[in-house]
Amino acid sequence: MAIISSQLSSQAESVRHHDFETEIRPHLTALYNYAFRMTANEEDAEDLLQESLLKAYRFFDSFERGTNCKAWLFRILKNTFINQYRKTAKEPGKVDYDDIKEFYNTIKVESADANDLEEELFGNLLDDTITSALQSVPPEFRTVVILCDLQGMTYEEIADTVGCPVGTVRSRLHRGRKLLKDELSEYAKSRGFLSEAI
Amino acid sequence: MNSRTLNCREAQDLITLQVDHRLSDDDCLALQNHLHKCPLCENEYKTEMEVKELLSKHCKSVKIPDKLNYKITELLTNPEKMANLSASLLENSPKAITTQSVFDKKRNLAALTLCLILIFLASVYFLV
Repeated sequence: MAIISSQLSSQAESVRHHDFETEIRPHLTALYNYAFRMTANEEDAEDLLQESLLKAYRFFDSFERGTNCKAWLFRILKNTFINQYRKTAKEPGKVDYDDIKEFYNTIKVESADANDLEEELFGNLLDDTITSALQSVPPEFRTVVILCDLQGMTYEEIADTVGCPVGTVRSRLHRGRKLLKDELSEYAKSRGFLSEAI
Repeated sequence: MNSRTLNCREAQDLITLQVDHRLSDDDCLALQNHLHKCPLCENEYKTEMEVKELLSKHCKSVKIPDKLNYKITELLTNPEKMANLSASLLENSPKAITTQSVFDKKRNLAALTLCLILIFLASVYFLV
């Protein structure tokens, strides 16, 4: 009797595991991107993602099959981030743009006519700059900007993920983009990239 | 067709919605009319649009690093390891109070209170 029941329970566990894998696989890349943009650090993003997956596995029974798994996973990751990184986060210091400027000048001199290379390098540089600048934006604003402008979520999906009204999503987006813009404007002005701010 | 006139405060509330294409045609028209006449709000709108474009144009989706992909695949194909790791994760985080454990605490408290009441009543009965 005991053998049968243990066989049944391991079979149930197997089914549960398979269901879990099926549900989460499509969202892994998006989840990693979210983790990476929140932490700006590959190692931290890796830890964050792994811990979130383990939590999701543990609480998989509380997830209602057929509902929005993506929002559920993103919410777990967001909460894990808030628990872990708010306490240990370094002071959001100013990004050292002098290093970035110097680097850009170097590659500009060395690749005289390689416009594609320059565009690719500059593009990656900008990506890194934006990722770093996002670190200076408080997490509640950073989250909505990432989810909307990088993940392409709708306000409703963001509201579902974050657990706030749609109106709050809108106001946090407005504020978050403004904070990011302020952070980037020093670099942008030196590159003539964004129009002058008032 | 006349669109309604907005003041700056009303326009500010609509700017983010316009950037994310969430405005009705009427509101869109009203906002555009205001932006034509108001350089401050126009600049605010332009800036917010630029930030959104910057992000969507220059922040590419990153691939999961191979090392991490390998770790995740290993976990997903090993139910026992996954179950053990996720169980120990919760044991090690004392602040992870689940709703279930809170419910258990309340239930235990209720049971204890009931026992005490019964003991009290029993002792009163025997003493009388």
